[in-house]
Amino acid sequence: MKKIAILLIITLTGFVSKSQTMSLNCESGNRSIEQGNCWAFGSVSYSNLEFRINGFWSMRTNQLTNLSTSACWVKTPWFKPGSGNITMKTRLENASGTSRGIVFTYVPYDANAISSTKEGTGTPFYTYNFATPLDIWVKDITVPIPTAIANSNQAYKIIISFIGSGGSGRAFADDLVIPGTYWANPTNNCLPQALIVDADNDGVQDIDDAYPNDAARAYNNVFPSSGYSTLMFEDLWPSLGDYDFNDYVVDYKINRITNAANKVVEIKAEFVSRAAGASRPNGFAFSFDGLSGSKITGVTGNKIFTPNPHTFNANGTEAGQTDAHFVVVSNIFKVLIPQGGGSGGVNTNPTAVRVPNDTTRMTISFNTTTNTTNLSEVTLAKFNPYLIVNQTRGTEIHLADKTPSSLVNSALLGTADDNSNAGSNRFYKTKNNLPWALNVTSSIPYMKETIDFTKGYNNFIDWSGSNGTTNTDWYLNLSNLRDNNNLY
Amino acid sequence: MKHIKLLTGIAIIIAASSCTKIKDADYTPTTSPKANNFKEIKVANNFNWSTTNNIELNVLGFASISPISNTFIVSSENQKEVYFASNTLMSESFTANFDLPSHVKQVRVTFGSISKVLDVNSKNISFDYLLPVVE
Repeated sequence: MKKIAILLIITLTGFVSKSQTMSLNCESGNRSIEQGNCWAFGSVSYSNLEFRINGFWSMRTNQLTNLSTSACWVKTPWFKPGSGNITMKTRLENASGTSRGIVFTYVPYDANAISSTKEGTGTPFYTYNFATPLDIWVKDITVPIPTAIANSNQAYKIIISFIGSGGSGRAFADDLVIPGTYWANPTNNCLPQALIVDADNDGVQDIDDAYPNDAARAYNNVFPSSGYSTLMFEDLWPSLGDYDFNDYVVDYKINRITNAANKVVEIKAEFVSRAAGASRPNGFAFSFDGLSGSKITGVTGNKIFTPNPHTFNANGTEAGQTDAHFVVVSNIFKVLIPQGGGSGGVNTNPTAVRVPNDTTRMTISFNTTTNTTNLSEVTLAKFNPYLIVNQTRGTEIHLADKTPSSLVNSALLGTADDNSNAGSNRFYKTKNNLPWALNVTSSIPYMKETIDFTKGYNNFIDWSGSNGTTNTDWYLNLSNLRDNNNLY
Repeated sequence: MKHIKLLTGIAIIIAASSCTKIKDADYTPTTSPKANNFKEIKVANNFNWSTTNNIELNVLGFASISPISNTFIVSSENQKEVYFASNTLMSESFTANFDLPSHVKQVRVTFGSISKVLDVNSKNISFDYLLPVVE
């Protein structure tokens, strides 16, 4: 259906590009399409009434009762005039009235003009007068391009004004052809096309290029779109926990850097470990569902401590995986060090010593010559972060319904309180569909130790109870949405 | 008259016994009581606990006269948050895929000087470059 629609637009568009000519035949039936190519209309519409001149549609003016050239008009886009004749067909809708005419005016580009259109002073150069007594027959008009502008290599517009006095009646016009080269930019307020400032010559103008001097990079594509998101885990899976969701709390933002061809060049990922209300040395990793390791050329910045349960490929992805998996921190207690030695909660008890947050900045490099990657392959929807529990590689805790890695101990799935069912792609949910991890698209305060998550966010129960359809702002820092007494 | 009294009596007995049955039955309310804590929350099988929606924006290309490329940007209405950016030919139809916080109900699409605000009423929305005719 979409292909048909675009085909229709291409087929019906009344503004046809021909070699060194511009033409307007109105067959789009929709002035918006012509306006999209920078034509303009004043009290001139499209009509398919019987008085149309050619095809299904023609231009039709309002009543011609005014000799002013600014009453009813059609204005071309900026173009570079060629030489030869402007041609057009026209007719009157009735024979009443004293006089009817068409005035042709050229308008130069004036960079210093106050108006946003940068139109200079117009010069009328030809007037066509309908012969009297007036009639309704089709006239072929031929108007020479003025020598003053022909082949000048400068940008001009032509305004075609319909005028009249006495009586009432409209004019039709069709099949306008003007010698010249289209020179307007519909994406720059229809101003003349200009040289794009593009220092690295990658095809993305500097004003839009996040890396104007680096031809290999063009755009930052960050999720979340501002600030950080917060991931929160319970780590007793497959058994239920206390639902304070603070066994590991990590903020993150993922910047997927793309080039001018919109291919992913690099991912800059930032993970801020904030709390570990756990008693076990867990690790943290992530993947993008379906992203092949063969697309990755390097991984740097992750924090791997010995001993660790991981082995890695030469490109830095974890070995033994079907998809590309990236270990962020192999042991969280090495970056959020429990005070007093050994294990124990970090930054969940307000009376205990606060440990500074730890930031891990990773760079993942992508193959950009073969086996390239589209942005759609590394979206938030495909982002799959997970906890690796107690240095036991096979024990993974993912967000609800996120697929475990190839290295998971599948014997644990569906045991204790977990109601996973790989056959129906159901993972990491209880029989009541409760999760072991939450991902919030904003950096939010987490719960103090052992306090139920619902006691910190007043509308969370209503949001989840509605299956996410109401109270969608439950996590925002707005009046009455939080109980700060229970938040760390 | 005797029959009427008898029928009325039977009706009262039936009605009374019916009330008793309803009262004594293992009655399940049509709406679950509100949860008091996380463990009591009940959600649908397909609820994924996400605070975002993955949006598909179907972009209908426009047959510009000369090839025009520019940066296609999907942002918040005030343009402070960018959800999607790509280098795009105006004539190209494509699907922009991006994640949007669930509470955001409008996005702005910008392509150079062309700008439109779109309502996000579903996970599939569409965009074309046409603007109302200005006279």
